[in-house]
Amino acid sequence: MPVDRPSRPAETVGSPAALLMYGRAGQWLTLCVATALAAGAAGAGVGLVATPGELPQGQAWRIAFVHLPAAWLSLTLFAATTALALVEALAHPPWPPVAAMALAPTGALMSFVTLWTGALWTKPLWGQWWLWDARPLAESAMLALFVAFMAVRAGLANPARAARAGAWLLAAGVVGLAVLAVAARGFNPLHGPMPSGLTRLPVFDGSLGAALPLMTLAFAAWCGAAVLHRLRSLLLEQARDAAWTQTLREAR
Amino acid sequence: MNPETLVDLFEMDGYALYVWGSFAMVAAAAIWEALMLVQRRRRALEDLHELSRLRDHEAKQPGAGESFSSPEHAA
Repeated sequence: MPVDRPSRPAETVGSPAALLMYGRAGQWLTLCVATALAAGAAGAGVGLVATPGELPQGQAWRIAFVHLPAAWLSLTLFAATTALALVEALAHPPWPPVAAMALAPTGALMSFVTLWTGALWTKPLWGQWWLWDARPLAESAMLALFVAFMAVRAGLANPARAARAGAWLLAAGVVGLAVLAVAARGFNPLHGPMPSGLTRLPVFDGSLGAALPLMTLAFAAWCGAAVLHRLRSLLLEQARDAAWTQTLREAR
Repeated sequence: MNPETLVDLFEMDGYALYVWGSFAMVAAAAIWEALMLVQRRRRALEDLHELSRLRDHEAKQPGAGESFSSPEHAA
């Protein structure tokens, strides 16, 4: 007689997959935190005081060392949140539907940091806190989608319905962003035209040293650590009554 | 041009507000997130401790082991 795979959220909280997820997340957590702190300290050090070569806009260009990693992380987290939200809602995985909700708050924070650092960069150089351009528009849309997703997931009582509603929201958001990306392809008054200019920027030809790779690693590791930590807490919250939580050393 | 003195580092050629405002926000966001995460975990563990205490308490009560699915409660 084949064993039924737990397919509804209520059945997944007590599953072996939940305990496995909890344990694995814990194993990677320390490594992520250590990497983030080491790479962040090194990256900030190089980025603030030891960049080789001439910075194109003087000292203001140092903002790139936090603005770019934040932007890349927000994009990655948005893609991952959407993918996992769809998987959780449609594919009925054996683990509880906690992965997308673990990613969303960190993604929202990265979006916010991108917009904030972007504003601080445009103000001294172009005189305004906000300039209309495809990328700030897209980033703002992503922040709104992250927040809306969290609200929908937290607001609906039925976990299966919440998972579906959240997933459809993000899927609609991705479609909207794709339309925006196509429509705004030529709309780059602030960031400049996309592919041709990118490789000529100093930060991508290696002339600015290791600051950007280090900071990108630091941001990625920090986001990883935050997501893993939140994942564990979500599992503990959802599986309050499950047998596996009672066996944990920290739950006694 | 890298800053050569602490004053240079602080002033960032006039861009101090913007450069330090950016780096400071990143640090603040990281610290805030860490605090929120620790708080969340602590609350979840306190919940589990509470549950485990209740379970131990129930187990010690006389008549423990009665289930609510017995027929007289079904009405």
